[in-house]
Amino acid sequence: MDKGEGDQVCFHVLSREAETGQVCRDSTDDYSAIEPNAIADTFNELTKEQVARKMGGLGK
Amino acid sequence: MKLRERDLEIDFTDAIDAIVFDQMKASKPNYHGIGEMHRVDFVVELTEAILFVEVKDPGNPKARSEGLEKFYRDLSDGTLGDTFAAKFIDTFLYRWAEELLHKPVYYISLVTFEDSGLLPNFSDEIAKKLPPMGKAIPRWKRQLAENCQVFNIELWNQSFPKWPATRIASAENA
Repeated sequence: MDKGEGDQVCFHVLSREAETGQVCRDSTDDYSAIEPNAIADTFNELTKEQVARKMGGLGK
Repeated sequence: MKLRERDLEIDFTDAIDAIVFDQMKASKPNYHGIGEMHRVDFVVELTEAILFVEVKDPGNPKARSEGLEKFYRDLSDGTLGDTFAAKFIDTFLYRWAEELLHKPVYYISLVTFEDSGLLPNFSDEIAKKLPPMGKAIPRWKRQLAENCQVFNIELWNQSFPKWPATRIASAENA
């Protein structure tokens, strides 16, 4: 993120509780603490798919 | 075979050979000797492939703020992508001149981004800067790199269990 020294950013995460179906909000100033992080999870899946497609069994 | 770049170490457990390619100390084995050429950090030979490996550590807890600002500025304006591409191309040429490029080459980089969302975009940016620059060239019979991809430590270790990457504790550096 292109964040300047004086900038303050707060991340709000909306997710649905599996048991109750209720929407929950979680807020954090630390991007790495976001949980669940659907955006990061999606990018991680893209990375893994490319590894499987392009590198086969190398490193496994 | 363990190779180290500052505080990061990778153990290429199934390598036939693994060298620090960016070796500019004349007294060391595998001295590169051409400062004008860009260089990846490691070159690793496997049974069926060759890895060019570049390591960058913006996530190092000891990283200085000026260095980090420059790193992210270079990432943002494309300079970092240019550098990564130049490292691959010059290393490819150097190894070609050594007649040591007889297997498919994979360009994989370990960059300690906390945000894994940066990885696919940066990978694509580097790949597009490698010849043939994302163009379809029917005259080409083969490609320079089979894969060009950037990982953080977590994804690297998930993807390559035979090449574990670890951060060396500060005490060991003392």
